[in-house]
Amino acid sequence: MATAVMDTKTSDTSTPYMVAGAGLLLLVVGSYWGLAYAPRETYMGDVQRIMYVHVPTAWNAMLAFTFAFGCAIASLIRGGYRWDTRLEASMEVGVVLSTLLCIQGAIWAKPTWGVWWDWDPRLTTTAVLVLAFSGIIALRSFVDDPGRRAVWSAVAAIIAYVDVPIVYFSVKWWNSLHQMQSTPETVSKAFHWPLRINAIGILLLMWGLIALRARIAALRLERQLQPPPEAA
Amino acid sequence: MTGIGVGVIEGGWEFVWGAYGASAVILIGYAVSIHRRYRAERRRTGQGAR
Repeated sequence: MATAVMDTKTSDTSTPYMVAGAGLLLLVVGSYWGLAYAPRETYMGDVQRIMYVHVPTAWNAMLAFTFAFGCAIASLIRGGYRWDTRLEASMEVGVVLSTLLCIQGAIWAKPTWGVWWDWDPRLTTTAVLVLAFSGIIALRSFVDDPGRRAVWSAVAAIIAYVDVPIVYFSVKWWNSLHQMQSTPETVSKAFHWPLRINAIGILLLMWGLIALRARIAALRLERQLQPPPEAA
Repeated sequence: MTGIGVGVIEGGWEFVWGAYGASAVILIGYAVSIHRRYRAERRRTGQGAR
């Protein structure tokens, strides 16, 4: 396997910071819009405002895992460590976003369903997704050989990714408490903008964080691949 | 209103603040952790901190 990791000395670090900062700024704008300007939903009332962060978090969590899936395939096909560092980064960001997704969902479920959690198909498959990718991240630290670690974690990520379409279709395949996917036609226009702004905000934040996290992984790998100092 | 499917939820702002608060803490906390880990890693590899 080639030893190329990433040009960590010359790569520009200001871009990921700026992208993440722009994402945070958009999140503030979108959240303020959702909390202060968007109208109350007819049946869910103000509790529906949680959707302005919950739905964009869900979209981006699935996107992070889809990027991880692409990195895993690229890592297996192209070799080298560049895609492995991106895989590590996108899996971690995906786990953070999907854990946040479960927390937001639980907070929304209590006033609407009457329970914090239910072993409903959508919730259960999402919990499986969090546990599967958390397991891969945890197990990576037990494999010392970077080449073997890159190969098996790419294979494991591809297997774990099978759960992503299952999460998406779970509300269609099985009876679920969780509502079906909404479309722009089924959501009132007044709710579109806070959703879109927060979706772009989390996307930019995710992009910046994956780029920075990949650099951390690349720097660690660079140290690991350095030859040991010669004995005097 | 009564009956299944026609209920209206009143109030619930504490849940809204809870969800937004949890989102802010987790997203900002994770971003800060990435920044700190990145700086520490650059120091370890002798590239200095930005």
